[in-house]
Amino acid sequence: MGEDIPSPCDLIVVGTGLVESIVASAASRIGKQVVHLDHRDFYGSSWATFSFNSLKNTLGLIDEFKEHTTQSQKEASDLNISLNSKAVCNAIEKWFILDECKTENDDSHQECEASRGKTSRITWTKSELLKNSRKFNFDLSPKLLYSRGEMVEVLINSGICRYAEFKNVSGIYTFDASEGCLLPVPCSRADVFNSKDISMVEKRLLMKVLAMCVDYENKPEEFKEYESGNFDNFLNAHKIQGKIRKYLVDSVAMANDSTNFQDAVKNVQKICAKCSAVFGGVYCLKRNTENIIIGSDGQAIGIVSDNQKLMARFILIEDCLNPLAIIKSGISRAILITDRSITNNDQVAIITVPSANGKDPVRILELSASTMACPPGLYVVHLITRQVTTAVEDLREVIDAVFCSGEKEALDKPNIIWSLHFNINEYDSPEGKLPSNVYSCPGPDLFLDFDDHVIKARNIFQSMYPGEDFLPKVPDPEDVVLEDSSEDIVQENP
Amino acid sequence: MHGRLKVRTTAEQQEIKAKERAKKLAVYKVAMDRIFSKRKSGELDDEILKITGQVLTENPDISTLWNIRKETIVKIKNTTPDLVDNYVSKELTLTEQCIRVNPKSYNSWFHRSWVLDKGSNIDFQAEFLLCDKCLELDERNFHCWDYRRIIVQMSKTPLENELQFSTNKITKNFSNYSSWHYRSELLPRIYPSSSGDTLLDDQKLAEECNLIQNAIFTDPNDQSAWFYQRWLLFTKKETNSTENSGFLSVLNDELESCQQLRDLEPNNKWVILQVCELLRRIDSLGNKKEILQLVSQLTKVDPLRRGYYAYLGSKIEEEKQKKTIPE
Repeated sequence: MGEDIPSPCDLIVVGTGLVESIVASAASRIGKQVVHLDHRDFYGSSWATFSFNSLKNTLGLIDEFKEHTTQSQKEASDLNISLNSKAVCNAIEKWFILDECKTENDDSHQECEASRGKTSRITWTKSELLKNSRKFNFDLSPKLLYSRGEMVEVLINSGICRYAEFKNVSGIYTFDASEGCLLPVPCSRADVFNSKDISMVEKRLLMKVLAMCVDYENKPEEFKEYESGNFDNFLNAHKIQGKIRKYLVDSVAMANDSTNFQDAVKNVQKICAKCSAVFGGVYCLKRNTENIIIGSDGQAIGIVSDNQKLMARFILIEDCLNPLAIIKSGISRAILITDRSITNNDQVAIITVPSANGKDPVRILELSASTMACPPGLYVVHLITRQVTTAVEDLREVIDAVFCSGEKEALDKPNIIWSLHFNINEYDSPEGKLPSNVYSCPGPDLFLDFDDHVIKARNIFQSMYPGEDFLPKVPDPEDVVLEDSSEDIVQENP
Repeated sequence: MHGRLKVRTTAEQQEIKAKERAKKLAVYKVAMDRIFSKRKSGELDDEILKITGQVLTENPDISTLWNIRKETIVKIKNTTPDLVDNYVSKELTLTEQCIRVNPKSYNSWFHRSWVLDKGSNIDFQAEFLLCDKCLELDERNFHCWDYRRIIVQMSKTPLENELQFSTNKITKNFSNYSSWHYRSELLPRIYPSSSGDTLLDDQKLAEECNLIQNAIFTDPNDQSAWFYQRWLLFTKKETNSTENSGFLSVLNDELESCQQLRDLEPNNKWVILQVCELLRRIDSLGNKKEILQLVSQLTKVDPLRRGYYAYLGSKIEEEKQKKTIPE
């Protein structure tokens, strides 16, 4: 694959992350010739999904990956692409179980099982897990689709949704550190109706605010006085205090003290359309890229890839490969395999752990086996927060509060079987430094959804091809006909 | 690949559709002719079932064909009763198919309930599953609710199960007349009142009042919740037995809640109306002034129904005149 790469082409895309892939497909859709490369041996870059073994291999590889230098064709003005920049780094893995199987069924163990009222549970061992490697699907950057969000529009219009399966988020919770328990967050009518821990009056106040936000675009006059302020003022004015304020701010609006009103309302709208899914996966070729070639007018004219010059009108490059990008912040991540659910019966649950001292909240996404993330009986838990020190440090408190990682099995907390911590860098691409026909595409961010990325992809597309349709609707296959075939037959019959 | 891709135009699409319709019409005519000629000669047999089945699968609303099938089943029951169960299960399969095509077909549902009566060995669990499925797709499908009542009766299912079903439905979506109505039918049978006065057992009444308050506070604009509350509070076995002070205190509690809601939603007509009605039941004479004030407020807030409010106002005036002053 990749021997006969056309040159010149319309668009070269370096990297197979989300933003650049959306732009690539939008460009192909309007008939542009697109060459899409990635130096890695997997698709998706920092958005990729891995089986157990391939995750370990990939993260191991990145540490060891050495850039092979081909300086030969580089001109002074060309931009050298740093292939060994590690967007995903600081990976630390830990096992919490034994290598070997427990060969004998000791009676005390069985009694213990029976007293918990559970039917016989497989005792997982390291080798058992590794044997089931293919049944695991670990996302580096798990995301949700908001049913009224940008990504859903893209999926529907392009017809890609035909090839995907979706799972609803079944539970949204916030973690109450003082009580050490999960509180379900009511964000739909049914939730509010059924909630047992808010009063009647609180129900009315909460519903009123939720309904207002959902209807925001239709009744802008109701919001005039709050528009330029922050979300706090709006909540105060509507008497939202105590528990329902916590719910709204932490889990629904995903806001903090300074969040402005507009952003908060947008988030409320999205969560209230409560039908989300976990989605991942992209596509690519396999190829190294060394340089971007700059012409005499300061515009890019192409790239050097595996010693071959490839010319193009536009170039997209993922931001971690952008030679002018700087690391602005980071994401601390952890992936855990656990033996039971934090909640009681959810298949996909989001839990927000708000932070007491002004730090960023930690978001937890728990996936059961029905999402194909792991074999039955196990759960995959993703933790995400802003990087302060390292992933292990940033997430230690929350993990200790919610999970049991010691030797003593706690009766109420899920036990961790395996954990992986890592960081993902977030980059800033300084304005105006790259040639105007080279675009830098952002990698994953802290937020649970894709919408900003879709918007960015659309903006890039519209900048390259103003006036063109961005992923217009695909015609119904039944209405598509190959000329000089059945056309004649249709006209024949009187 | 040298053939170019072309998308069919609307005109071409319409032409193709018209041809398909013509074909279907021809097939239909042939089938109907055959059916009627067979019936005329008394041939109510497997073939007539086959052909009527084919036509009904395409169009389930031809009553005549269903009736022909009924005639055939009756004939089979009379002549070869041991084979009837086999035919009954075929009818169940056919009606289920038709229900999928049109879940609101009177004929399909009726035929199904008619057929249940003819079989000796009905799997009611499957029937309940079908009902559950249909109600999940459309909570307000009254055909399905009626059918459910029939199978509950036939299978002698304990009413508590059905109450639980109604609770599940409401938990998922409380904006549903049908679920609340079902509940209102079941409750008096499961939890009858010990005194003669109220509708329900006291404790159950309190629970239901609490439940419906949740609905009302969550969405005061939802009519189905208000109607259920009216049924709970205002349906009396005898008239005006406010001597029952226990019930009076229930009404007063509800009034307090309603007033609380009114503070939050001062312009919601349902809330105001309910406050009115409560005040009337508690003490129509003593509260008359306030009630009439509220009625005039209602007329402003909901001008489309001012005729009704005028009538309400005049009724209250009359009540004042009829009522004797208690000692």
